[in-house]
Amino acid sequence: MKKKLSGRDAFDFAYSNYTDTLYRVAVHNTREQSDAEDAVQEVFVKLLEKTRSFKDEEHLKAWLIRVTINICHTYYRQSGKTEELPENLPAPDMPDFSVLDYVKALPENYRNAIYLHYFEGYTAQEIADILSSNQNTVLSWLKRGRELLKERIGGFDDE
Amino acid sequence: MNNKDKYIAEVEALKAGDDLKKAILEKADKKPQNNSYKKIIPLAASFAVVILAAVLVAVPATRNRAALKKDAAAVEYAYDVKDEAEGELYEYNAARNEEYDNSESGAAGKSAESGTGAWYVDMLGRGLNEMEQKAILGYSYDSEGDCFYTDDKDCWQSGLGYNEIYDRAAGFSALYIDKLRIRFDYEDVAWMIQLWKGQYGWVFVGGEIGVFTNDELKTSGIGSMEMSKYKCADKSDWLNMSMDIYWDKDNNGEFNKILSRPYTKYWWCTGFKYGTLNRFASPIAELIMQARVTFKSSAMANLFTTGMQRTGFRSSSSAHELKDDSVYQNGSDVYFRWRSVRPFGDESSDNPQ
Repeated sequence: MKKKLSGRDAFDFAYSNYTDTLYRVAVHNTREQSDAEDAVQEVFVKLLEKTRSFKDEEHLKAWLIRVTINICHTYYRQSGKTEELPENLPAPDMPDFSVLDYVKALPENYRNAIYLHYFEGYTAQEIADILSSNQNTVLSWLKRGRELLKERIGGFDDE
Repeated sequence: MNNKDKYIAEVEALKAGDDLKKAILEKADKKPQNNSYKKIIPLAASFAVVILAAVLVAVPATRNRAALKKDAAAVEYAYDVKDEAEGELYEYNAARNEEYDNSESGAAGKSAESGTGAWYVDMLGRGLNEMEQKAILGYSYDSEGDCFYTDDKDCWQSGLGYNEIYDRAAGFSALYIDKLRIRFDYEDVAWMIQLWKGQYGWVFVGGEIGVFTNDELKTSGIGSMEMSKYKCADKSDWLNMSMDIYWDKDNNGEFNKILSRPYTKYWWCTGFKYGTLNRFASPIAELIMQARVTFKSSAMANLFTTGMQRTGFRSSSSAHELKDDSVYQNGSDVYFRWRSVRPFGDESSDNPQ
């Protein structure tokens, strides 16, 4: 059943259910753990300041993800964020090889689409709604992201 | 395990630490709920430094640095407004998608990968459209009055004539505005004082008072209707004025002041506040503009007052007890309260020629 959420109720629900999700979104969009933690705190502050109510839990979650990405984006807007692959990434055949690091090294829209689709299970249309884009563009981001990962680590979604 | 499964396992292991959760709760305990945007900006003081740098890059080089400092707060506010608008749009899109998915064409068009139909809504411009964002970047934020306004002293609009300004306004994706024009001749110059109030874009309500002059034509009768001949008033013709906007936001007959512009010289006195009208049809009676304008002389004020009365304003006996749609003159000062008077019922008569 859909439940409208606002004010402290929205905060409590988000805190109980989405803190990890927002942290994961922030990790995907920041270079330092401390930045990710700051972003998550900031998004909860914004939630408390928000006067409008949310239609349901999904609406709340989508808004939180969107705002988290926006906040992370502002952290790096000043310095001109680059999308280059970090030099210190381990080689894919090394024991400490992390796929997450390679996903994080993708361009912003690619990595967010990959995370939202593969981990959160959102459809392309739902991702388009969250990222203010359209379905075809999101499908393109997913395709291109997979291609880049294939080039760099030899594959990703291997059916 | 393929890389996708490895990725999912790695992300699954990412969890917010206890310190972070504790910090969130501590901030929540300190933070009163439902603060206005006015209260966000002081909280984000350090954050504004980052925003300022972004503005330095984003806005045209012709803007001066003093204006940019003011923009920093506006940009911060704009992002908050954008988040709000996107929330609304998400809701709208979700409803449309649901309708589409339940329709025959939606079911037929479902993509195997996305699992949903292709219904996509961009008609609202997804929050602020590009034009609106640019407009916001060109405006300043008054933390005292808690509203946006145009900076009369150095804003980019000041070099424009009436037609260009009208075009600027049309840049908003939605405009539901009542307009009132008072024209008169004074000292061999045709004057036009224009008032606007209503919905600007999808996200602002507010009002404007503009002072335009036309000294190229010595008109017969009162002024000229050739709008292209009117220009923004020169600095020597700016008028001292103040403007308050009241809004019956809850549609219960209770008007509250939502913004206030200070008494000083303007050629264009403006104020905008985040919000959406309950009813877009004219007259926009849920907004009231109350203003004081000081003219160059009693004679000039008298011309303006007469013009107001001809459009339907009643005379008031006091500046402090103005009734709706009434005007009061005291020497060179004119006070008025505008709610429902709407002489330009025919839209075509108000368009620039």
